[in-house]
Amino acid sequence: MMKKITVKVNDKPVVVPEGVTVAAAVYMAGETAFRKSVSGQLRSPVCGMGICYECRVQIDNQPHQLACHQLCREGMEIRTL
Amino acid sequence: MTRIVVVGAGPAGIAAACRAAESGAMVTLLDGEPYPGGGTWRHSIDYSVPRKAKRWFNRLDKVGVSLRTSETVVDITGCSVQVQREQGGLDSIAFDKLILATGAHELFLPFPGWTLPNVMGVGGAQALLKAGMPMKRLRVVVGGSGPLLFAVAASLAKAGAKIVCVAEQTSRVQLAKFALGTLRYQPARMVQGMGYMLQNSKVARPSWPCFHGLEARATFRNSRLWRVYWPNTWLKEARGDSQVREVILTNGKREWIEPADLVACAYGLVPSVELAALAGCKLSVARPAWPCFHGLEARGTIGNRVVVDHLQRCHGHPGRVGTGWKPVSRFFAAGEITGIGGTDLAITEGEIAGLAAAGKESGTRAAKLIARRERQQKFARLLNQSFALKPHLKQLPADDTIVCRCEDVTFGELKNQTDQRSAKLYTRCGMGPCQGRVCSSALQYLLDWEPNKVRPPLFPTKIGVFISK
Repeated sequence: MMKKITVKVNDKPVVVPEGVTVAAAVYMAGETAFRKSVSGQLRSPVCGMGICYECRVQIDNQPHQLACHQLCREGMEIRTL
Repeated sequence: MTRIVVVGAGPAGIAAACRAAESGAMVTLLDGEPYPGGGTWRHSIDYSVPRKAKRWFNRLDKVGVSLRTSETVVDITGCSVQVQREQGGLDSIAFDKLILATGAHELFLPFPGWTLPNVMGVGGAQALLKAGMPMKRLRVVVGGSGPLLFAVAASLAKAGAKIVCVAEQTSRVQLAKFALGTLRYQPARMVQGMGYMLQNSKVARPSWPCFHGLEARATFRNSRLWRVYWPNTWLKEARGDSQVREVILTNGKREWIEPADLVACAYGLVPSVELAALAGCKLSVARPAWPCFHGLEARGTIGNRVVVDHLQRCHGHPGRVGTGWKPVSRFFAAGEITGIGGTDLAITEGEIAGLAAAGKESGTRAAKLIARRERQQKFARLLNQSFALKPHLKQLPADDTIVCRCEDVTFGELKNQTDQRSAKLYTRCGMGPCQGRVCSSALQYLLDWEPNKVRPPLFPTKIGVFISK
């Protein structure tokens, strides 16, 4: 049985299996937009492997974190846009 | 003891690390992602990795390689690499030999609407699926070029997505040639491909593009996946509001609309040669933009690859710059960075590089591997010819289509510039956090521009990291 952990995506608690990335947790929370571009457009991950930098979110008050490179930890606070 | 550092823990890197460690070297294997495996053997939350990958992972565990994940190489100086840890902080790792196995990334060609949320790469969709992204009931359009399209469509369908279509830009003739060639060089891959083709999936109906008007269809049925595989078709535009809702497809003559909640589109792979370029290794053109065997001159190229000799040694300037390129004994390269050729070739190249770096290149084992590599390279050539890009794709971006996604620079602003450097100075194109990884290969294809020179740090690094060092 896979262990479950709880993270917060834009203050909404989401229960995710252990070992999923932050990007997957954001999608599980029902969000599709991760960040706003310099001209204000909505964006979401493109490469899934850490080169396009479109998946940047705020994690535990740290801005510009790569959602597809980081694994969820219990109690993590994720903020999109 | 020889200290060997391997950069990139994909198939090539793992094979190189195993062979080198088994030959008695002290090996450190670095990767920026949280798990080893790279793109093809990516860690999946349901632990479904291929059998071959499992064998190599076990071997890696046994040989005592120091595996350091979530550590990204940002610079190389003399005989050491600088790595940035995920938690912050910079570390310097000294080496006697360096094996570069940094792999490849996807080629994204800009088309109107490609910046909408839920428009992603083909490998990108695969990676997010394996990371745990829910795909159930999403209507998916897969587009672009290459054998990866079909594999990804099959795994998305297995995860519960509805496949609207798989739009492959290359022609039926090329695909038939590719199928025959695969049967000859890599029959196991052909069996795998047939498995995907015949997979029972939820696919859109009806299955012939000529019958649809301009109405977006939305009915799905259970059928074999090949029913929605459309050669000679490519994505022209994606439309939507807060995310993609529909796409316009074309075959050059006709255009039609299909519904989509998720678009996975990429035009094959480009070697990730940034670190090799920084190390001063010789690069060469990776693949022609469109087929030269049609009697046409091969105009335009996509990406660079690292030039290697028969022992996977990189070429460098041994003495003064300008004294000519020669194979150097310090740098080795293996896998997709030496030219796109697939997992099997990457493993063989990795094994050769690992043996050669540990000084075991004269044995019969190395000779056997070199012969095997020759066979696998034939498949690589076939792959690059069959999925060469149509010139039509150069017309994809409109003037208001964004090309540089980091700095939101449009194609209209860029086409009046003369080269990558002037584009950078006048429009900020390629100056964002991706450092031109997405836009520069697209611009190399669209406008025949040379890629920009590489500078450290190779990935965005916090300034505090350098100050505290």
